[in-house]
Amino acid sequence: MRCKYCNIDVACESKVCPLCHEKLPIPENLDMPYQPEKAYPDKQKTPKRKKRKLSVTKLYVSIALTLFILSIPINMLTTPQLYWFAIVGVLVIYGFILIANTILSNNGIGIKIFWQAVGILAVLLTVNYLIDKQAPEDTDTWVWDYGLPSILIIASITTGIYTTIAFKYWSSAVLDTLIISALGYLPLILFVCKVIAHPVLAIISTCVSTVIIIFCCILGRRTLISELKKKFHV
Amino acid sequence: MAKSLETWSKLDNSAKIYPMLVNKKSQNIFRLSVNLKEEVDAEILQQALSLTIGRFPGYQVRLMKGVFWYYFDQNNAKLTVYPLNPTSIKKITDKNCNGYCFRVSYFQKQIVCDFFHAICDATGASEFVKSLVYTYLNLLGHEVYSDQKILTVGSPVTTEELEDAFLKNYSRVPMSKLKIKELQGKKAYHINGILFDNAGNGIIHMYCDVKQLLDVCHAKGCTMTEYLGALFMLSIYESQIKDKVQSANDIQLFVPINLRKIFPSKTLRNFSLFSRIGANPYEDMDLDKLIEIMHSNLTRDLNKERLKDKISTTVWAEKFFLVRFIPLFLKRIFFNFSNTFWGKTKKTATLSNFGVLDLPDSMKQYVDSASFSINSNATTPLSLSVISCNDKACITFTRRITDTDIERAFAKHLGEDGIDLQVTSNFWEVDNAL
Repeated sequence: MRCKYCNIDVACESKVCPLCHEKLPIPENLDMPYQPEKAYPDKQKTPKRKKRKLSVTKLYVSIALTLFILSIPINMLTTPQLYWFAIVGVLVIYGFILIANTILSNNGIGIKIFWQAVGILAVLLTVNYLIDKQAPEDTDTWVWDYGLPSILIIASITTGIYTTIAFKYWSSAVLDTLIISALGYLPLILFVCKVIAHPVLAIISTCVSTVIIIFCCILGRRTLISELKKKFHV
Repeated sequence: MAKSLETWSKLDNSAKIYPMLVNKKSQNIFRLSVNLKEEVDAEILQQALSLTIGRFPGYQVRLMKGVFWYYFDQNNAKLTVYPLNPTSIKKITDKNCNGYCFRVSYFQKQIVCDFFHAICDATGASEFVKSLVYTYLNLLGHEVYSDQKILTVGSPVTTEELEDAFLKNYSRVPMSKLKIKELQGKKAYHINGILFDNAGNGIIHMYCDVKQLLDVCHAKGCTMTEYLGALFMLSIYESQIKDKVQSANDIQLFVPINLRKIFPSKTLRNFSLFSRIGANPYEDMDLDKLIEIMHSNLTRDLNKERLKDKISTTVWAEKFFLVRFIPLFLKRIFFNFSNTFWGKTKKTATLSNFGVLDLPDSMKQYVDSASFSINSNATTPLSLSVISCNDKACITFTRRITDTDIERAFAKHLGEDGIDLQVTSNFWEVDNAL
């Protein structure tokens, strides 16, 4: 079919000219019915404006923020001497990490466990701070003494187990395990800096990290070197 | 000492920037399609793809994030052929392509391959497409021969195919010789129009006889790129600037240069640079003058020494210690910011002439034509690309705007020069306007 306005032949199935959008003439004097091919597949009809999807994260944020805002006046009216709404706030943030980073995201095991550890530590620190304010003589630095080392021990063991069983992701998980395990030395450093008073769990954390790092280095030396080369190439 | 193939690779010099510029709305993708003379058999195509990918280890990769740069890791996931999606040149993501940086689709008689620019340029991609079509025709039982024009399945992979040709042709140059200012460019005129509401591009293919087109070019004493580039600038002027009261910036065309023709290389990765061609809309808008501008600019930019300096500048930028050691997430922020505020404002449109898709004679009887398209975005809403195959040239306009005035003006000029056009479109403007 020829468009007389643009002086071109339209070679695909169409009723109008692709350039000027004028109606094309119906071809005459054809022995066979003229059926040009489609140039592209038919478009899927989509609504002009898509309705915004209510995702799990958005739903969580709305409910959690409402609860947090409600907790402030309730806290002030019932127990004004203890600001427990701060714990609600931190739990809301922890819940967000749990949903958005740990459950729903495609992040690697290392990032998931790292943010979990940060979230739990934040919750413990907030509780510690509030209890400390309430009864300064009873509390000490229990978060640093027991909380942080416990979190890091669990984190190191979890990544270690995951790396051992998830053969498919071995190459990427082994580097994560190494980094998480290296964090296990943090309690020992804090003990040397005299932030930690009771070093039992700090020593256990150091031992666990050392064992996992040695295993990673022995079993996955090649993979580790390759992963480090990949990730840190400049 | 011989080395075994690594399971990961660095991105080549020009590829490094492409993943950093990906955002929700745009990604640097181009499409190479081959129009066969018979309907495509999806099952056979799937078999052909599974065989062909083994010959191209550089494309069997997944893009991964490192601490400082992206890198390619070997991808062993299944590579699938898809029915052609109506949303033309849809983004290539981890989810919709199984982690691969390219996608093979089919529709009626077309085999359509979309490539993310991070893995290759059009010349590299064409080798893959030719090999895929060759394998497909072979599997169908057709008697086709490679005639040393096809990288056939089973032929050895050479290290040259996987090399970063920028690094090979780079030499340390003094700071004074670096072409940093040239790479920056001037502010350019921006094509106006109503953007499509939905994702996807409007595509218009104009098919014509290569001989007819070349005759016109010879009569005007210019090359095909010069002639089409001049016509493109003239069409932009006539449809957008001519009747405007406000003054407009220069029309700046980006023309990719295939460096393989100047620096011999068999790389299947990126090896191209851009030539920036500017024309003043108030002084230069005459076809002969525009052809002269195209010619002088391209001649200047195709000078080997000049290109060597440009290559050295881009490699210098990559190797500059500050750039190397900035973490990837900061690089992404910087490149996106600078591209939005400076990069895109210095380009009116892109004109990419692929040249000839050279097929063996035995394959020509099964192939009707080929088409080549590059995607466009909101700030550079129109691109023009050209390819010739089987004595048929295909001029493709890819756009993000509803208006087709520039294409119409372009077709009018071609018609006036005696070139018969056969036009097809995806009619993306219908139902997709705001």
